[in-house]
Amino acid sequence: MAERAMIDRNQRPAPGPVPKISLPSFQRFRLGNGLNVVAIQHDDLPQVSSRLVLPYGAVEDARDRAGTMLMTARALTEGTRERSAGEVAEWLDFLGGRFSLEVNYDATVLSLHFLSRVFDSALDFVAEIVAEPAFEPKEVERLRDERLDEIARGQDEPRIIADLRLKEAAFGDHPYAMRTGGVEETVRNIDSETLREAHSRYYRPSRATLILVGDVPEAVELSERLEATFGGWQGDATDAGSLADPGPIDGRRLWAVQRPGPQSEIRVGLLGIARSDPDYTAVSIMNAILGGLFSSRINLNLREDKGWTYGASSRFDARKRRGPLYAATAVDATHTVGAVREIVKEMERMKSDPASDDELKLAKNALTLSLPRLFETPSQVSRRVRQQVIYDLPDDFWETFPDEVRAVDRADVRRVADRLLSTDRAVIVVVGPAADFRAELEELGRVEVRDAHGRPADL
Amino acid sequence: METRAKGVVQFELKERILDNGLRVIVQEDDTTPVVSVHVMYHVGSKHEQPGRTGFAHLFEHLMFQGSEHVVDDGHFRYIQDAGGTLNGSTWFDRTNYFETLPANELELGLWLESDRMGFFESAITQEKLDNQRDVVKNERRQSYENRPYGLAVETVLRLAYPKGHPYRHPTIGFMEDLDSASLEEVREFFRTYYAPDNAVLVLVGDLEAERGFELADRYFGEIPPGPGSPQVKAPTVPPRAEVRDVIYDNVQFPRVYIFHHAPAFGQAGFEAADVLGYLLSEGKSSRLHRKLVYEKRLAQDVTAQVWPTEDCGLSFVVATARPGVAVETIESEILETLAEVSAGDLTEHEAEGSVNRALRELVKLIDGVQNRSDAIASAATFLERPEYVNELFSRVEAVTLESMVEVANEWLVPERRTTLYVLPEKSTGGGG
Repeated sequence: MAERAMIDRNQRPAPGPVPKISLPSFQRFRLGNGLNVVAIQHDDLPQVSSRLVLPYGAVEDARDRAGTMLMTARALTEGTRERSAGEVAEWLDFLGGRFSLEVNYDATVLSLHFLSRVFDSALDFVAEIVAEPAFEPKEVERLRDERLDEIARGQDEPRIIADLRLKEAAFGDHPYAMRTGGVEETVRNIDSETLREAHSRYYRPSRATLILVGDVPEAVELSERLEATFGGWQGDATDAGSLADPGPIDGRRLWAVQRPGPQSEIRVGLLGIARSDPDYTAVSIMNAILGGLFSSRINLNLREDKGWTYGASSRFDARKRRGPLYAATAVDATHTVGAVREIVKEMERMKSDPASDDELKLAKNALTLSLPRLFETPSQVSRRVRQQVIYDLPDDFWETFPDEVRAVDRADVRRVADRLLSTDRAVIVVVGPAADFRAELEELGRVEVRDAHGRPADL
Repeated sequence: METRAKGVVQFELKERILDNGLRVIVQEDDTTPVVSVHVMYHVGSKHEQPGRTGFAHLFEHLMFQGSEHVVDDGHFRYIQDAGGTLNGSTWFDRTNYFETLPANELELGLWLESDRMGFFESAITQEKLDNQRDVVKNERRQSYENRPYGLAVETVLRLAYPKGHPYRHPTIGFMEDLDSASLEEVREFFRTYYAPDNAVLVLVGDLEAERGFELADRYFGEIPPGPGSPQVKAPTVPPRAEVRDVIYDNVQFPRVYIFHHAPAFGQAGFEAADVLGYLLSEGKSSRLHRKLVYEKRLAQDVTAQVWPTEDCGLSFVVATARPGVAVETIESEILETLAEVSAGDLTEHEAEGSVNRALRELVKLIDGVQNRSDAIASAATFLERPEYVNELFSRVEAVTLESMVEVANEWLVPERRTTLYVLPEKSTGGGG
């Protein structure tokens, strides 16, 4: 190919006009039993991503039976009034569906991904497991043992130990201190009766929402088919329990967990915000500058400048109540305390050395210009919609989101940094060779030594 | 009940080879205003010199540290500022670099990729090498050494392949080899392998093919071809006596790794081996899951899979023991199931279900511009046939009970097997 046009490699190529983002348009309707349906035709491939959202999560668990909501969801596929556990498994596997479940603090989400050729059978499957689970004691006992194995195995993973200890150290007596699947002592208290009771209270159509994205029929036909499928599922759901915001962290708290190994897992946690907080967008931008992106301050410092880690980041988990805002990394153990100091320093620097114009622009662009690729596949779309359903966000949330982001200025970012990033009230958890780093860590505050289960311990 | 999915998925691929040998492939898809820019180089860990394991992957990291016209941290910054996402990965046989961008930023991706393909050497420094060496060593610590069972796969590779075999070491490499890598070797590696005629450029998304070719030529056309990158063929390991070993790790529960050599990607039997993995362990009704996890309650988990490699393939069956269960018991149960498969003791129903599950995952594999560009680039790199991506669906659909039995008889035999136990370093009782 001759006549090659010259380019100036010293310049970043100018972008074309920003493409019009075609966010999915929702079809909403309600079935006779009260079940809300959100249907979105999307993409050209012969597949469907479905998610059934129940607005009840792990915070509904009784404290001494933590793990109930997770176990209830897991037990759905372990036998129904019509079929044994083995038959349910065969049914699903022959359809070729991929079933997964999520129980977070605020909701239970049952997802089934399938090829559209099996549309009717796939939804029959969802309807049957949701409406008619058997909760056979034998199967529930097996599931409980599996959950106990899983909990035990988490003790082999430093990153899981660090995540769990962060919750406990940050949230004390609040339900957010408990992992969503419960711990050994609470899971042992769960039996088939516990699950049956939770199911009868929370697995009701009137507050549930079925999200269908992909190769789905038109609304009229769809609603007829869904009436036939889900019509037999009946009942009114109870109110979710009331939950207070967690109390403030009263001072800096340092936990060291002894675990020999070449790296230390570090968490530096603060009290974050609720999803409904008016500062949500400003906090998103602040977090993107602090640690939410590869080019964020924490990662550039710890990875690209120091080379102490494969990666370091920060995130915030905005729930119905105030969840955590925290930094996480795994570092070469010889730099453990240095890394903690740098993370604390970067959090403080968000206040003393506020976001530059370039940082602000990068964060805003990353949050807004990324929208087209975040709505590409059916499962991406259904995941976003699930978030809208759980937190009662308006259908046009993503249409208006870019304007909300653009409205945030440096003063807003500074303000939310001042509001949240007080490292004298941070929880610092380090899982690693504590005998080596404890003395130096004491320079940052009084260190409590804990074992891998979070119990007070000695080195 | 419905039977198999019939929605056969086909993509129209357009291809042009630039004068310097760069193969450019475009697939137009305007369903979303995004574009994937994907460059795959035909070099991976199998091309590494003795004593330099991990080099291809370390090199991949350096490709994100700037080039002549792109400042040091520019790659990430430019892409994220455009709303895009990016990454790279290293495999036994190839290394890839890819970004997904809003469609109006296609040229940004081409500018960045062409600059590191054509203008990399002047930007590399000892300081960058040392920094990324530290990062990669931490990646090794985080993802392998400090992770339960993290050293099992590299141990299996060392046992399964003879000395000097290109697949004998893991892509992450070994610490002492990472320490030995020099700046001169970085330059040499770049000159040898990072040439347009040893790469493919795949563009998938909201663009017109002609414009894609024109821009590809504008950005990449002036880069001179390489010296002819020497290719490495990893030979199939001849049948031999089974190899076994035991390692100890900081874990509570024993785990068994049963490795077999397997057909390579694109080779006859690959899809049958792949679907057999679904039959054995994907879904609760799959053979091994049902027996080990559900009925006999011996294992916490079991997975069977085949890895898509360019040459002689790799497959694994891995299972973790429940508390108090001996790993030997699990191994013998797995071998019993493999023997059933080899004997043809399967039902048409389970064969059909496993095909259905494999098709579902296949659609996921070609869903989204980034996944699809990867699939196209792999077909072009390994098989020199990008259009192979359009045969994947029918090849999986064509897998039968008989073809799975056949592949089991050829490959899942003791002469191709390597077995590794990972046992707890100390007995902790396994309690929570």
